[in-house]
Amino acid sequence: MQTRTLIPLTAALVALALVPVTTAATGHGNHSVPAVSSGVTTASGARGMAEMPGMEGMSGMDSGAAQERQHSSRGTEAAGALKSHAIVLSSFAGVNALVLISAFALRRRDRRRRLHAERGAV
Amino acid sequence: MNRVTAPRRNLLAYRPVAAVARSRFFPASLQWVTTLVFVVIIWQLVLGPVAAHDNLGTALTWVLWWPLIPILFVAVGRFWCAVCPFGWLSDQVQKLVGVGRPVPAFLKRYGIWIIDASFIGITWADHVWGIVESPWGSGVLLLLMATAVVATAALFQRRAFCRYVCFIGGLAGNYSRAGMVELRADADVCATCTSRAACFNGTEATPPCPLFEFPRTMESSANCTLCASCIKSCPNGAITLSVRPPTRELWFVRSPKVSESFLAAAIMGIVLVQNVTMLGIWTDTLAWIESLSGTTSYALSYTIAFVVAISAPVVLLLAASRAAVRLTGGSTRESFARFGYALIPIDIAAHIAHNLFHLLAEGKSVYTTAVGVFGVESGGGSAALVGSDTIHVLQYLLIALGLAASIYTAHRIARSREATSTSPRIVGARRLVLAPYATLIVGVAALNLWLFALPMSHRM
Repeated sequence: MQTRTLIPLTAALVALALVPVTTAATGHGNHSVPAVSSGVTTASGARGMAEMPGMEGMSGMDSGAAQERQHSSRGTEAAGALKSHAIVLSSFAGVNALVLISAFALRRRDRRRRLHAERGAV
Repeated sequence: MNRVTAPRRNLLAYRPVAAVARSRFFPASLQWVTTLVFVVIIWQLVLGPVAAHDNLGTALTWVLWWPLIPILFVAVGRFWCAVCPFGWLSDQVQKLVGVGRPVPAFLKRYGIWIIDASFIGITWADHVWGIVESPWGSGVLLLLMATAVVATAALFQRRAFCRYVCFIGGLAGNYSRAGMVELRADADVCATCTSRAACFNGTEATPPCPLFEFPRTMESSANCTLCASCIKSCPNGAITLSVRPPTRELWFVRSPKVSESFLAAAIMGIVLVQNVTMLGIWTDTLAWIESLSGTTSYALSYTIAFVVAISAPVVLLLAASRAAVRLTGGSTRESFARFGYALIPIDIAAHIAHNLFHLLAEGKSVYTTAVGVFGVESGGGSAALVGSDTIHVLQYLLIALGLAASIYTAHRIARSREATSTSPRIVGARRLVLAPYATLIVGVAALNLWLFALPMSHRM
């Protein structure tokens, strides 16, 4: 009964360990991507050139290129964060699976020794 | 004899209470509910919205559960531990693969220090890495705890994690001593028992005491989760459940422990530093530390503030103990251990008062994030359940109550010490020994009142 429960549970944990890595590789499931800062905030609280006092007219000059750069930078950071999250989750699943398998093996060994000792005593 | 043995009404004499306690669905059914909620919390923290103010997991953990937990400890002792999802996880792992090794001696001996260190470490990490403000950080913390639960449950007997490792268990143990519910065994009935300690070892139908307590000799509620296993397994009906005045247990601690008194003092420091970092004065404090230390590292500056805040109540308790010993004799270590318990009521009051702000000023976020899971926009507006004036009044009342309870506890400890002492310097010197501790408690209360008067920032 316990072996029958342990096998699917371990399989589930191993699957859990592998799924986030696959998800990271395909780029799905980006719910867990942490917020990426939109840039440096200036002393006046402005979050970019367009918001800075006296710089409003300059905003059109490089906005297209800047946005593209920002998008690309965001994408790289998001993918990096996703990958690191996936690694952390996989590690948790892996460690827990390892602990469960080791404990199961230990328990079986203890039982076998006990049975052996009992038979020896008889 | 230290204990006051005034007869108290046994709640198990009431049939509905007894029926619930003896039911095989108690506390399992409640544990299933908390486990389901825990799964939702983990799912939200790990895979839900990135911003804390949109995350149901953050709201349920830090706005609802964390503020309610100290209130629960006072009201019903460690009952939370009986329904805690980690307890459920521990039971399942043990059924599945548990090796059942005895708990190592070092864990039994130093478990409380591991708890003290992990509690302090987690509080430090929370601020430096922003665990509370980050759903992912909170998720990782819970997963780390779950891994520790799995490892200890797989290797050791019963709930070794809950008894010797869990930092919330340490907090629960200290606070539950001041709790209002008490489970004990009738010593006269136990003297005639022939069941080979079924209350401790369990029966075929009932599990043993999860926290290794033997009701027959149990004098403290620190490690009783009110799981009712002993009520079910006792063949003689010797277990009693009664209501007692809050803090009563603290008046008669027979073997006070330095580690528990240290935790009581450290908790005060933790509450203080948590308060300070949420106030406007934190920026000035930080600038001052940076100018003193010549560093601009936030982690280092916070660590300095943290170490000072945690050490201050411990050092002050030590100083009060030394002063008391000079006045009336005895040992500083013994006085530190004995009178440290008097800090627990003011600890609880300050802890609840601090978290009351989060519960009442951000409480609506539980609803808004819950409906947000189903894609329902609840609109903007304040997350407060009541106005800030109401919160302030409640905080002041709590501190006043904690102050009175702590002073009274110190007074009862001094009285109890006097009653059991044969030293002529201690006998008749109750007020003298009380003076340094009362000064410390009043100082701590005044500092808390001042901090609560300042505007505080939100978690969500």
